[in-house]
Amino acid sequence: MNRFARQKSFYKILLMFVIAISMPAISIGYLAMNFSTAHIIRQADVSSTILLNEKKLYMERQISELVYLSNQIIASDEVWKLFEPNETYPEQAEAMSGVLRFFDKIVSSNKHVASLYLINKTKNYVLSDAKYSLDNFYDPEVLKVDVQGDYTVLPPRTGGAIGASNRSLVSLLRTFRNVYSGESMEVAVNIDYRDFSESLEQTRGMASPMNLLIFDDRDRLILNHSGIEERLLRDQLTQMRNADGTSINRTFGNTDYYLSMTRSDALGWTIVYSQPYEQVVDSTRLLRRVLLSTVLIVLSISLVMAGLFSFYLYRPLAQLVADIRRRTNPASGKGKDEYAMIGSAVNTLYQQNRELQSQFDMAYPYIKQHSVFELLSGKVWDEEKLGAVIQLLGISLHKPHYVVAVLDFENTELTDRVIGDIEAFFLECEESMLLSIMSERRLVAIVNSERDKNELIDLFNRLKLRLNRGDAELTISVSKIFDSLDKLFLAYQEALQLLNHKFFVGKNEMIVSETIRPIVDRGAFYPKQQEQNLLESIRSQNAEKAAAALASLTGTLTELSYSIDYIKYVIFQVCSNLMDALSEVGGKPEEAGIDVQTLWKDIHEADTLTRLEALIARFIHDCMETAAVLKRKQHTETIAKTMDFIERHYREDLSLKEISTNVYLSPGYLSTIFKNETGMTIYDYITQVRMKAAGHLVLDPDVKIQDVALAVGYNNIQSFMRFFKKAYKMTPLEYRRSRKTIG
Amino acid sequence: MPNTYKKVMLVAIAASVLAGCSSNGNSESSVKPSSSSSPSPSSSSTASPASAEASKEAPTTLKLAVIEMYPGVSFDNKTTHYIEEKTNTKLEITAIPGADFENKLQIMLASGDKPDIIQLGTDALEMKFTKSGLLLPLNASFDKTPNLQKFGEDGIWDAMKHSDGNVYAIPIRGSAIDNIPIYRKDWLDKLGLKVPTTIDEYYAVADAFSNKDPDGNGKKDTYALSGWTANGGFDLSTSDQVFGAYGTLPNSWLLQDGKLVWGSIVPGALDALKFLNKMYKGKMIDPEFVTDNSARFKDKVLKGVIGAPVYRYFLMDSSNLNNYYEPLKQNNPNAEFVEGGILKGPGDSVGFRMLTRRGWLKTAVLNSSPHVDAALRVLDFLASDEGNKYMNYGEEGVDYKVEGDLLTKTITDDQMKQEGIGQLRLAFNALYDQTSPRYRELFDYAHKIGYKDPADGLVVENNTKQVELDQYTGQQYVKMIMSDGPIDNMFADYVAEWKKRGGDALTQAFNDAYQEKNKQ
Repeated sequence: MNRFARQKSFYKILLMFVIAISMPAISIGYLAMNFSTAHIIRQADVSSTILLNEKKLYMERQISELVYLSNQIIASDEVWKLFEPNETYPEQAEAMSGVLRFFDKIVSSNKHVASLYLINKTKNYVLSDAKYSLDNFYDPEVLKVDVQGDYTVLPPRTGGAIGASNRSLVSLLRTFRNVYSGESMEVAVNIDYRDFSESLEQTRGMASPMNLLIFDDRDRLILNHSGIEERLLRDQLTQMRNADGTSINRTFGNTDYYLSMTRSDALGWTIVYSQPYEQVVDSTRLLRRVLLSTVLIVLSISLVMAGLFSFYLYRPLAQLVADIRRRTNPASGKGKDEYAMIGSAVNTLYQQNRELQSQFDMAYPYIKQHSVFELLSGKVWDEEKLGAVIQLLGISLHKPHYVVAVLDFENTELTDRVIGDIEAFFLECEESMLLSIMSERRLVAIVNSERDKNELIDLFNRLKLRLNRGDAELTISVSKIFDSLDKLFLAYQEALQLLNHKFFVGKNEMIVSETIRPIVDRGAFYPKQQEQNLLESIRSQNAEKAAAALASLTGTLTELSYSIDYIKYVIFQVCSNLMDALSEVGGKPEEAGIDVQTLWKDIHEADTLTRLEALIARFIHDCMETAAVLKRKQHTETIAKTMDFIERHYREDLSLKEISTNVYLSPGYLSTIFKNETGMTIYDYITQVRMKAAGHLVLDPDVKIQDVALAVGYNNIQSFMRFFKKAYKMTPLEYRRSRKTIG
Repeated sequence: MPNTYKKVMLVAIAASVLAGCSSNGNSESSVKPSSSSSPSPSSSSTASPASAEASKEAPTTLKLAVIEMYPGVSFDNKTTHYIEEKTNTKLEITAIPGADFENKLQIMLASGDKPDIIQLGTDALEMKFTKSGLLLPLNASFDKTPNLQKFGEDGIWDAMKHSDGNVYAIPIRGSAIDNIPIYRKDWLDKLGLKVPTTIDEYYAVADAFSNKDPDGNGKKDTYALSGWTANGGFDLSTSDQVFGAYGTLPNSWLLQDGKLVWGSIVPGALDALKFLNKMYKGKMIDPEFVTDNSARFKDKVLKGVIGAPVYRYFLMDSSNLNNYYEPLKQNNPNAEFVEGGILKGPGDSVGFRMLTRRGWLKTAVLNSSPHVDAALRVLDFLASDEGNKYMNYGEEGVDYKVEGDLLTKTITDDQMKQEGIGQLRLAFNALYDQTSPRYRELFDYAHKIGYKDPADGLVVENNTKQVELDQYTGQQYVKMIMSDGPIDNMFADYVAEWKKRGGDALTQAFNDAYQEKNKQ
């Protein structure tokens, strides 16, 4: 029952199929069966009528033969002899004897005629096979018959001459008159009922005898081969005689009979061909059976098919409903059929969708904004997410060039009209564009285009002119062209930086990198000096100083009340610069587990400043480690490089900074490692190299000492003299002389 | 040489046979089934050893076309099966109703449907078939069919013999004579008369029977004689005693000086007619004899109307053969008949006409039969004592019992029919074992006083004239018997007319046949 309730629709579908298939099949079967019976009945009626008429004609012919025979008898000489006034007994006897002989001749030569009677009631005799008187005639029944009309056919009766076995006879009784005396006489022609009935039974082309029932107008049975008991027939004969049509159905006993009827007016007989109804429609039965089995086969096949169809049609439905049930409150599906459930589920979904849609519509600008922020802030890195965001924004960005422009409105706040103007403008120019309102006065436009930078700048110029005409003053900074959105963040930063130049350029201008003096100290928008300090302390492996520099940096950032994102950005920028710096001197940050992406991600995910500081501290630590490794690997080389640099440039006015820059180390660090490696300071080494060279140069007696000093990098002769005296324990001249002596 | 009288007798015999037989008789053979002490016919070439072994072989199928003895009774019964078993055959029997028998048979043969065994009614048809070479000469194989040979030893085969010396048909046999002069003994006693021995005594008895109210009812309702119409003519065999007393029998052949003479036209016949005319005038002959038939005649005899005719001695058989005795006693318990002898008259008296020995029905085997041996086997078996007894009475202890020399049927006639006893009469000899000793006494007596037709066994092809002549004779006789005046001229006219109508030619034909047969 539960199962039924739950699979109501299955049964509905099944029922529908079953009805759709079985109704035509059943009605066709029913009609065919019905009509087959009607058809058979009609055929039976036709054939029965034909047979009956044949029988009727046959009977009438038989009877008319009897009439003819009776006429022959009446007209015979022998009978006419009786008419004569035979006065003597021998004459009478002879005349009667003549009739008897005549009769005998007829009877013996006509096998259908069983006997003949000549009845003279007036004179009290009957001539048959012998002469009888009325009272001793063996067939008294005939004598009782009152003949009406020319002749009467008597119903069968049993009778027989004396000494002969009884026979069943059918008699034709005909009256005539003695032409002389006028006395009435009768001739009876008796035929053997068995012959009569057998001849009626035989029917051409029929295997079984015809079951005939014949009765006269007085409801006397002439023939009953119907197989129906006489007593059953008795009271229905009148009705049957008066029935209309050629056939009727009657029930006798417990059997239905199909009765075909005809009437012989000549005989006054009703002739009925009785067939058990079952027998008549017997052939229908076969037909019916065929039809029935056909219908049943069709039905059963159809039902199986219907079951299969229903099953296959129902299965997705059932799965759908099962899904719905699983996903919704089971109670809500109770008492509902599958369609109702699907209906309500669709309804619910539709409503939810509408709700979501309206919510989304409301949220969309924010989402869009946010998404652009996300893009601009570089938070979206991986391609998938990027695609999703772009899809969300609903623009196609497939052209090769991107450019980011930051629009600062100077004298007005952003209005929808202005935004509309801008959007319209880009639409006119057939450029894909994303607008993001960053603040009340600031707008960021990301343009995806095929145009080159100049064309794009021109484009923005035109936009600016257009907006200017609308009395809006605005400053636009345009980033460099970039070719993929993952560079958007940097481009945006660049644009922002460029916009910062507004300070220098003035308001209501276009600012592009080409028109701007490049910023010497990159990242001037944050305390660059502190970054330098930090880098320096890392290079110098001074952890305490690095920590202090970091604290100072973050302190500055927090004091300046930058947004957290900005702080993070700065931090990242610092870190990334640090990494760059390390890379420049051959450091490999990867080896310390540092890479830009991870770093950005970590920074981005840092939720507190403390954590950020810890992160940076670890980063710095890692960098210092890297630097330490680097240092160890590079000291010798660095020293060699430094010495080489010095030996090549000792003639110039060398500063420590120049030298340290040459080996990408800070001057202090270089000094330190140089002293550690060589045991002397760089200045000592420079002096040593210069003195060595001066020692050679001074030997040339043609050269002035002053020139030697210049040649080895001393602008000040006193300094040279002092350093020479210190190196050679003598003045240059003294050294020249002493060498001469030796030489 | 059939004639009207004989035909009448044939009918009578047929009736008696049909009515079945009561019983009595020695019947060991039928009780023992197949061990068959009877000389088993066989001889069938296929079954040379013994019939018992023959039965082991596949039964031969024989087709039979026979007269319908029991209308509506199937041949699928114990008697048929008994015959089949005994003869190792399978019988396919077509029964043809008597009325249409010969026509149907001829049509059947002409249609190419040839049975093995057929039955014939008339001599004419037998002649016809013999001339067409259809029938098998039975005597040729008598050595193989001893029972059959025995069947006709007492002159039957002589009567059946054709001019070529062959026997082609087996007659179905009954008593050769049923009619003898009989007298109402109770009337004789009442009137103080004796059974007459001369024609004059007969006249006295007839007069007393007719006019002295022998039944004592005070009415003139008794007669000595009557007669009946038959086949369109008059049957006067009931007054054979009168004709016999005058040395003739009407419608029968007399042998005078080695020649056959027709008994109706001899002078003795005129004398007898004069005597009868006198009786008629003296109201000793029932005037209705002109318009009565045999049944009405019998009825009148049984009811005590006729007292001194020539009629069935069945009336004296207390076993009620053919239902004469009991109705007589029912009508009048005192009624009793006694037999008389040949009346002495002015001429050489002759006895009473007998039935032809050629039988009312004959059985023959068709030449064309592929199973001649089997067919003869069947006929031989039925001709045997065992077979004939079975066909007469059925199975002893079941269908009849024997006490002393009296055989009593233990089943009704109807049961007998259903069992097929007497149904297939191919070589049938009616037995009278069931009748009373008195009957058998009379049987012998009747045969003693019977008149043996010298022409019996003569077959003359064209006998159609004879029927017409017999009818003419009958009519003229009636006229003469009933005539008011003298009849001499009438008789002379009749004789002349008879001769003219073909009587001479017929006489010549019979004499020729007689001479030829006697030559052999």
